[in-house]
Amino acid sequence: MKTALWVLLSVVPAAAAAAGNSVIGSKHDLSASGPGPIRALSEGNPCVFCHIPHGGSEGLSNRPEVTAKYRPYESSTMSARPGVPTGTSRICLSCHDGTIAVGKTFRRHIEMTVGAIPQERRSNLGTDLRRTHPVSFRPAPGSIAHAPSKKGAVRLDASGQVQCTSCHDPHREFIDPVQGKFLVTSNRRSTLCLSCHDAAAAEGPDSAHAGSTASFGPAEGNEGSFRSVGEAGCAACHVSHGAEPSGRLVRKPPADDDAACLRCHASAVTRLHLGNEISKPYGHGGQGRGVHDAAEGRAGKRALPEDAPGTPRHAACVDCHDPHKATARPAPGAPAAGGALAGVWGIDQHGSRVEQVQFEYEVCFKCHGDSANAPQARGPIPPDTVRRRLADANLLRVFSTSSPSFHPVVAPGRNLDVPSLKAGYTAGSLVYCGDCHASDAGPGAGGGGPRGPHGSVFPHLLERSYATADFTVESESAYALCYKCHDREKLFSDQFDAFQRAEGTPTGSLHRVHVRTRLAPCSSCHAAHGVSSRGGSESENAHLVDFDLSIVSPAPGGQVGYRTYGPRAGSCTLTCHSETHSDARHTY
Amino acid sequence: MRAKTHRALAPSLLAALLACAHASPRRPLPAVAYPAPPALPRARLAAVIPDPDAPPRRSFWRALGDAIAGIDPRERSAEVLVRPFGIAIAPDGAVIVADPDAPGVLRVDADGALVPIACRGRDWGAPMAVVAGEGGSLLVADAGAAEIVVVPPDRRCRVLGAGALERPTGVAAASGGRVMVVDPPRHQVVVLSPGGEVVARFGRAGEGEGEFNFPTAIARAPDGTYVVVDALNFRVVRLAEDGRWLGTFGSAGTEGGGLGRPKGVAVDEAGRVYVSDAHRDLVLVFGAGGEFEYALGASGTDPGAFSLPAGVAVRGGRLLVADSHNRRIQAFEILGGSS
Repeated sequence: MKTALWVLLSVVPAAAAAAGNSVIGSKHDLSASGPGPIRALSEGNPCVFCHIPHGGSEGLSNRPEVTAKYRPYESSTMSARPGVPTGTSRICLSCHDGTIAVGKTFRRHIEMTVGAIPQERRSNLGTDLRRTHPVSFRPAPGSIAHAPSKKGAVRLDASGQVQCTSCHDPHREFIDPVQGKFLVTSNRRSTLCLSCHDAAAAEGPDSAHAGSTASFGPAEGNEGSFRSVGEAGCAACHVSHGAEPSGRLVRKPPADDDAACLRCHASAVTRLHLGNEISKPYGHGGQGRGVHDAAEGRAGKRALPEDAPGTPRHAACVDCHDPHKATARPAPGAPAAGGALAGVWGIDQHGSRVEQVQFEYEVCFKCHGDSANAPQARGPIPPDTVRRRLADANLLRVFSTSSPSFHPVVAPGRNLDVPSLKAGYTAGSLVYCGDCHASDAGPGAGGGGPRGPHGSVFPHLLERSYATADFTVESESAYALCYKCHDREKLFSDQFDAFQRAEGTPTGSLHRVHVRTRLAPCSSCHAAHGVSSRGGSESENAHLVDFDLSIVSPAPGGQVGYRTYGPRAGSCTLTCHSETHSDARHTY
Repeated sequence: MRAKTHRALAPSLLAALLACAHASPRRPLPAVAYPAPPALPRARLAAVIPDPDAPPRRSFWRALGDAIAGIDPRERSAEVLVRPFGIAIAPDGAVIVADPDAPGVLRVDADGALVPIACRGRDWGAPMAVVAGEGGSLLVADAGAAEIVVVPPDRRCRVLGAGALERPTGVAAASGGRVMVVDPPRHQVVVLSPGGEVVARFGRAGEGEGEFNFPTAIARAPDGTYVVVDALNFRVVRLAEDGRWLGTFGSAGTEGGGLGRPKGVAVDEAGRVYVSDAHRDLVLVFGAGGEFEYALGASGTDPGAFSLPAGVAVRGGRLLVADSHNRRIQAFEILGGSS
């Protein structure tokens, strides 16, 4: 019987060699004909290295005794610590431990998914997959992964588990002629990954990444000689082995949420260079790195909007963009979100989570709405910081349609009489958050840089200059942000300005008097976002009026405020620039 | 002791929480002995390190935080060992562990605590084997850094064999301060002088006499000879310090004394050879003449079972096994008098 065994062992490799793609000649061929310098074993076969003969007795099996003694998966044991590899994965790891072969596949924590991946979604996958793709578990249908097709290249083992051999065929090194690595099939365009991972979850329709023709090199993470990002697919950003434990097998250092993105987006791979943007003094990039958690905002996970004042604020690329689903579709017009925001979850105008943002502001409300940790001081407070009587950091509340006054982000503003608007805008127009908060070098500012609120040289990440200092000399550039929509000439003309004196000597445009003559900035009277109903009222805070108390002070008697008396009629009580208004009325 | 301190310090509610966290009764180690009856037991499980039931050493604030967050303190102890691979017993009985994935070298305290051993001004690459050297020093095979590190008690470490090795995974102390190293990818045993120069290289790739196929470990026998695990030749080679080939024993197989994936090796005072097998999840014990005597272990995570066992060490009737994928060390008492 033993003789028969060896005869069989000798014949099998010969037959396999004839087939042209066998272990013979591969890195796993440790015999004479292999690529290494090892002389042939006298048995003349390379099988014995993995298929250990059933010592001294009958049979041909690699693990009869292990099978007999192996205890099947027990969740109670496994949940106490990382699971232990089972099945054929053990054979692989018995060499790939750093002695006989490199062990970097399991270089650090041997963190493995134990049992079935819970129902639900990708973040759960991520929480469990640490440095290396898990093995020795059963994929759970119904999650965003599925059991591979029985006829496909990727197979589960006899017990229905994913093992090393699901993705690697140890006998055939170059099934994928480019990458090798004993992969069971080429992973071009994620073929291998999508055998189990749902394509719909991994790539949205028209996914910019999946369809990208941009070429990238090893420095940008191209380890498979892929011709483009799209061809690399998952492997452009993910690695199966040796990833950092902090997240989802992404090829990045643990404490830097943005590194995987910036490897291309701050290099020549992409047309627009975000590296410049995020290094600007005001920006979202690089804030609170390492804090982001893909599961945040879901029940039982890290709260977002944050629920504790002390929670660090953060903004990672993936807070606003879903790299799987983002597309190149331009933003269609406020407030509808463009393709760059496709796939991202958000907070709607009522404060409820939406799985796919429809409107741009729903992305912003994730952190600028109900977050209990806003505002949070970061560094010194810049000079000229406005001090509102009714400051409200909750922009969900400020932009609410029930607010006394708001810029038209969520809905058209309350005031339908806005004569200063430039052509193209009406009182019914809506604006994006990104119309004001954007790169100073982006197309909105007339530049050639990237769109969006990534970074700006202007405070508050504003697209253009917005002077808030008292005694600012009025100019096109001083209030360039306001003049983007509000016509400077109309605003200061006696003919168009809605703000004029009701009693005594006519002075013409009071905007002109205040801003041009008396050098008061727009912000001294108007709160740009609006005034929320928390303290504000329709009678006292119409027209975005909420004075900057660093410029405006109370009139004798302690009163400071504005009151509207209907269309184009109101009065002010305050002291400013040493002048006192006591119920000073204006009308037109 | 520690819990008492906590109770004294913490308000009563928190003290109660902590007490709960510590309250898990210390389960007695299950009686595990090998070989299984009816054969006479030859080795008995004596300890599991870290003790799966022992509360870990935590600062008061960490303990408080764990109690509030509901973290099982036993989870913390598992963080200490990532993939224990090499193991040694120092002459004073101290247990030393090499963990290539931590990466680190650790000493097991008398009370089971793991204390890192750091060289001054040098980080560990991937230490995979450790053995006691001269004068209380340790010899560490740092496979990641491709060198041997001598760790004296004052931690002023010296590096041997830099540039001369590819991936040293086994080390043994030889006479006169020399060091024997196995270098698997080169299929060689390398002898280093006390100053670190290469004195000799034995072996080349192959399966005949004077040849190795991925030698993974080496140990010194009491008679001054050496045993080398010749992993992919599925045998144990006996070697003299001058490189003379003294013979081999063992063959590929999955039953009895068959070698599936021999990995670590140790020799006791009686000349018995202990070989760990990462395929079979066993430690195979061979007599001084190379005859198979018995096997310890089983596949699994239970006390006494192994998952990819790696380094082994034996001294004074104690056998220690680095149970690499179970992230623990298991200690066995060798029965039947002196080993």
